[in-house]
Amino acid sequence: MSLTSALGAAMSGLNVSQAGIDVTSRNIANVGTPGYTRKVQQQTNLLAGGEGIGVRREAAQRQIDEFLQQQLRTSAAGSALLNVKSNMLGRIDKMFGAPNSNASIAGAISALATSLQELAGNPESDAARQSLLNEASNLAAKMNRMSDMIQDMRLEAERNIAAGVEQANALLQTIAAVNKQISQRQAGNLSVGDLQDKRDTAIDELSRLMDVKVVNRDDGSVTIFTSGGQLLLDRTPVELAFDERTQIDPGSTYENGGVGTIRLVSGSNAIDLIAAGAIRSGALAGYLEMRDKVLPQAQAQLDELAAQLALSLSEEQVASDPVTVAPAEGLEIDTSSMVAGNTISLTYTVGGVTQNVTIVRVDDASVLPLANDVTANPDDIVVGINFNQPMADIVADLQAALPAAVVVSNPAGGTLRFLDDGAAGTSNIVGLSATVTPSSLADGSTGLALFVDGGAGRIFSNSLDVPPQKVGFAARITINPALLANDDYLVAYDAGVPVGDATRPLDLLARLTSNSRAYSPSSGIGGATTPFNGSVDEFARRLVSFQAAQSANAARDADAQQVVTSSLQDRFDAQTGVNIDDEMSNLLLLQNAYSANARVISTIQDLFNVLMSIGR
Amino acid sequence: MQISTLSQSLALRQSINEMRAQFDDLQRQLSTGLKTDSYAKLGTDRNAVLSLSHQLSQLTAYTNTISRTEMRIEVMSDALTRVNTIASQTKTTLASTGFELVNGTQTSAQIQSAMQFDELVNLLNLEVEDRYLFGGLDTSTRPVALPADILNGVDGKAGLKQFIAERALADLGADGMGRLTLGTVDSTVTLAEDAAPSVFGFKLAAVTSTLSNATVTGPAGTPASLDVEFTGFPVPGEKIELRLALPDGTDTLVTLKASVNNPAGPGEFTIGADADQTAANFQAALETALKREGQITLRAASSVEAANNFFDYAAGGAPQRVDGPPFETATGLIEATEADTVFWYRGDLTGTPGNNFTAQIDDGRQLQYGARADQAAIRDTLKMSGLLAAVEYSDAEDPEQTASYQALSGRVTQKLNFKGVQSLESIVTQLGLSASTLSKTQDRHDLVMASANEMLGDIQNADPYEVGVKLNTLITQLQASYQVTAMLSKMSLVNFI
Repeated sequence: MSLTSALGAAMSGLNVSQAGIDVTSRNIANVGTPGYTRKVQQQTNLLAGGEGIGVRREAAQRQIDEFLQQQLRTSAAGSALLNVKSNMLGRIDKMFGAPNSNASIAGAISALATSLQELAGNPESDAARQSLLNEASNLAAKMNRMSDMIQDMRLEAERNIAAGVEQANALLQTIAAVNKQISQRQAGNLSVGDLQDKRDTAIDELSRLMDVKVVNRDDGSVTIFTSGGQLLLDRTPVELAFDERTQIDPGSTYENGGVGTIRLVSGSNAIDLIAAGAIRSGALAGYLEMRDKVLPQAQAQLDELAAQLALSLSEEQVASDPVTVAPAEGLEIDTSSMVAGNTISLTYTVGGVTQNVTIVRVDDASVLPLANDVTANPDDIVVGINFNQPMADIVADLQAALPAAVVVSNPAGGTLRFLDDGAAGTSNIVGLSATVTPSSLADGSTGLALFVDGGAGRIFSNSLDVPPQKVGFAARITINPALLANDDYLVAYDAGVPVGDATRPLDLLARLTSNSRAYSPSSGIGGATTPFNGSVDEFARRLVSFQAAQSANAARDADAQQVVTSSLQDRFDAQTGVNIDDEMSNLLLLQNAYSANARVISTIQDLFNVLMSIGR
Repeated sequence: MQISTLSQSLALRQSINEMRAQFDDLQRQLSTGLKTDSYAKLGTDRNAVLSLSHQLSQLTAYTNTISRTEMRIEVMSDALTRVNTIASQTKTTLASTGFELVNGTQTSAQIQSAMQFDELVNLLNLEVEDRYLFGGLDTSTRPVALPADILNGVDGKAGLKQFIAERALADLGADGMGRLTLGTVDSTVTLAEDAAPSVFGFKLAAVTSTLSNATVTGPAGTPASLDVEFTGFPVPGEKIELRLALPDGTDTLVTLKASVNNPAGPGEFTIGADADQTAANFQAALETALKREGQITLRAASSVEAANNFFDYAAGGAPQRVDGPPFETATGLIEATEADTVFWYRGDLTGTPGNNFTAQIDDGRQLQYGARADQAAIRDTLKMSGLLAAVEYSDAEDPEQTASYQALSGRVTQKLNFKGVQSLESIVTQLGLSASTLSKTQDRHDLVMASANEMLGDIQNADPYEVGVKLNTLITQLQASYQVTAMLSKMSLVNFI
C-alpha cells in the first residue's frame, strides 16, 4: 500500500522478468537439442497476510504429457525390435543373391541338374565330369557359407545382447543418480526440469533396449519395472548379468545352455529374464528372437535341404524276400548293410487294421525312445532299436515294440524275419523294405554318395545318435573326396561298366529333380499332418521363397511401426519442443514487462524525490 | 497447436532423405534394368521367378542335349547310308563282272571290295567330339580293328586269310575228298564221313537212286556212312544223286549216271563186266566227282564259314578257330584268344546291339538311339567285303576255279540281301525317326522357353519408360521441397524484430 511496498512489488516484477528472460534464453539456446523440453516460467501472486505484495517466481516447469510419453516409449521399443529383425533378415535375403542370377541355393541346384544332363550326354568326357564335380563343390561350399553366415549372425546377436546389457546397466546407474538429485532438489523447491530431461533421455534409451514400465513417485523419483513385472530400479538399481558365449554353432541352443542368458541379480537372488519372458520388446528382444528362433529355423531349413540332398542321391532300397515257415508266411530282409540312421519300413495288418512302422537303427541307446515326428510321414509309428547289441537282443526289442501277432526272428546272420501268426490268421505282413546309404561307390547300384559329412568322408545317414547328424550338416556338407580322386565313379557304378554308359548320371538326375520326397516339418516348411512333398530342387525354391517372404514381412512391419513411432514423436515434439517464434514473442512480452517495472521504479523514485523535497 | 522448430526441420529433412532414397532406387532400376535386387522386394512374384528360372535352365540343358544328339544321329545316318551304298555296289559289281584275274590272284570285283573294306572300317571307326559312335557304350575304344590287321593278321596273330586257309585244309582234308572216305569191298561201295562228331567237310544228307540192281543203304550211323551194293547191272541213264551238306548251311548235289562209255565222261560211271567191276568204276567216278565238287562248292562254302567263324561272336565269346595243327584231321573248333587272333570288334558287346545311347530330352522322356558295328546287317556287309578281299585264285582258265568263284559270288549276294535281319535301310530309317522326334521336341521346348522368358521379363524387368516417368515426378517433388525449405528458413520472427 505504501510506496515502499509498491517498490517491493516492482522489484519482484523485475526479478520475475529477469528470470523469465533467463528461461526464454535457455529455451532459445536449446532449440536444436533433441530431447529438450520447453520450460515455462511459473509465477504466482505473492501474498503476505492476505495482501498481495508482488509476484513470486516458481520453479520453471516443463510441459509434458506423460501418457503420450509412455506411448511413445512403447512404440519406440517396438520399432527397435522390428528394425533389428528387418536388418538381419534383410542380410539373409541378400545371402540368397539377386533374382536374375542363379546365385541362390535353388539356382545352384538347378546348375547341378544341368551339369548332370551334360554328363549324361557325354559320360566319357573329362570336361563334363570335371564340370559336374565343380558344380557339386560349389553347391556344398555355398551351403557351408550360408550356414557359417547364419551362425555368425547368431554370434553377432549374442555380442549385441552383451553390449545392450552393459548399456542397460550403465543407464540404470545414471537414472538412479539423477533420481537422487531430483528428489533432493524437489524437496528444496528448486527447478528440476532440466534434470528431468536428462533422466527422460536415459529412460528413452533404456526403453529402446528393453520395454519398461515407469512409475512416478511423489518425491519426484521414478521406479522402473520390466513389462513382465520384475523390479529394475527403486532406490538402487539391480544388476543385469549376461554370460556371453564366444563361440556359437548350430548345436548351441538356449535349452542346452549353448548360448548366454540374461539374469537379474538383486542381492542374492538371480532371475532368468529369458525364461520368465520378461523382455518382450526393444532391441534386446529382437536379438534374442533372432538368436533363438529365427536364425536357428533358417539353419534347420538349410540342414534339412542338405540332408535330403545327400540322401536323395545316395539312398538305396533293399528289397525283402518272401518266406514261408508253414503255416506262417512273411517277409525277411538282410540288415547287414544298415548303419545308424537307416530305416526299415514294415507294413502289417492286425485285425484288419493296417499299420506302418518305421524301424530306425540307432547305435546309442541313450537316445531311445524316439518320437513319432522323427520321420516326416505323420501316419507311421517310429520305433528306434539299438543295434549295438547282440542280434538276439535286437529281436527281443523289436518283438517288444510290435504286437505279438507279428513274429520277429533272426534265422541267420543279419537277416530279420517277420512272420504273421500263421494258423490264427489275424495278422498279415504286407510289405517290408529297408533304406540304406551304402558307402561303396561301385557296388552295382546306380545311387552315388556325391555329398558326405565333413572332409573325412563320413557317409550321411541321418543318424540320430548324439549329436544328431542332421544338426549343422549344412556347415559340414562337402563333396565326396573319393570322387575328386577318381572321377570314373561318376559313370562306373559296377566293375566292367563301359565308359560311355549314361545310366548312373540319368538316375542321379531323376533322383535330384523328379523323385518326390517328404521333408520334416520341424524345419518350418510344411505342416505336421501334411508334410511338404516334392523334389529336392522344389524344396530349395520353397526355402528361398520362405526366407524372402519373412524378410519382406519384417521390412513391412518395421516400416509400419516406424510410421506410428514417427507420428507419435512428432506430436510429442510439437507439444514439448521449442518454437522460436513463440519464444520471441514471449521475449517481447518480458521486455515490455521489464521496461514497465523499471518505469514503475523510476516513477516511485521520482515520487520519493517529490516526497523528500516537501518543505524545502 | 504448437509445432516445435526442431521437429519441423527434422520432419523436412526426413522426407527429403526418403525422396533421395527413392531417387537412388529408381536410378538403379534404370541402370540394371531390373526392378529389384533381392527376392524379398519381389513380393508374391518371387515363387514365379524361382520356378521360371529353374524351368528355363532345365530347358536350356535339354536343348543342348538335343542339338548334340541331332549332330551324332546325322553323322551316323550319313555313314550308314554310305555302307548301304557299298553293299548294293558289291552286289551289282559281282553280277556284272566275270572271272578275270586282274592282278593274277583276284578279280576286279574283289579288288574293289578290298578298297571298300578299308572304307567300311574307316566309317565304322568314325569319331565325333572324341567319341566313337559305332562302338556302343564303350565310346573311348576304337570299335573296329585296322583293315590290314583283320585280313592279314599282325604280330603273330591270325587274320581272316589264315582262318580261311586253315578251314580249307580242315574241310577238304589231306586228299581233297571233303573228309569223306571211300572204299569198296567186293561189290559194295562205302562212302563215309571220316570222323564224328566233326564240323568239317561234306556231311552226307540224303541219297536218291534210280539205279536198278543196286541197293543203297544209308546215310546212317555215326560217323554217317552210305553203302551202294551192286547186285547186277544198272541200266544206262539211271542215276544216283547224293545230297551233301556244306559247312555254311547250304548243300550241293553230286549226280552220277550209269553209262556204257569207257572211259566214262564227267558225272558218269561205266557199267563194268560184273558187279565188282561196276562197283570199282563207280568208286573211281565218285572219287573224281567228289574231288571236283570239293574244289568248287566246298571251297566256297568253307571260306564263307571261315568268315562266319571269324566275325560272329557275342558278349563273352570269341572267334572260333580250327583245332589244330594238324588241320587236315581236325574235328572241332576252339575259341581263339586275344593272343593268337585279331578280334575284329573291340567295342561294347553287352545287350542288344543298336539303340544303345540314351538322351534325356525332356522331363521323364528319354530317347534311345544309335547303331553298333556288330549289328547284323553292318557286320554282314563288313564280313562279305572282307571275304571277297581275302580269297585268292591262281588260274583264270581253270574251270574249277571259275565255278568256285561263281559259287562264292552267289553266296555273297545272297547274304547282302539281308533276309531275316534288320536291313541297313531300316537302321537308317530308325535313326531318321529319332531325328524327327528330337526336332519336334525341340520345337516344343522353344515355344515354352519363349513364353517363360517373356513372363520372367515382365516380372523382373523394369520398364524404362515407367521408371523415367517416376523419376520425373520425383524430381519435381524434390525441387518443390527444396524451394519450400528455402522459403521457410526466412520465415522467422527474428527477422522482423
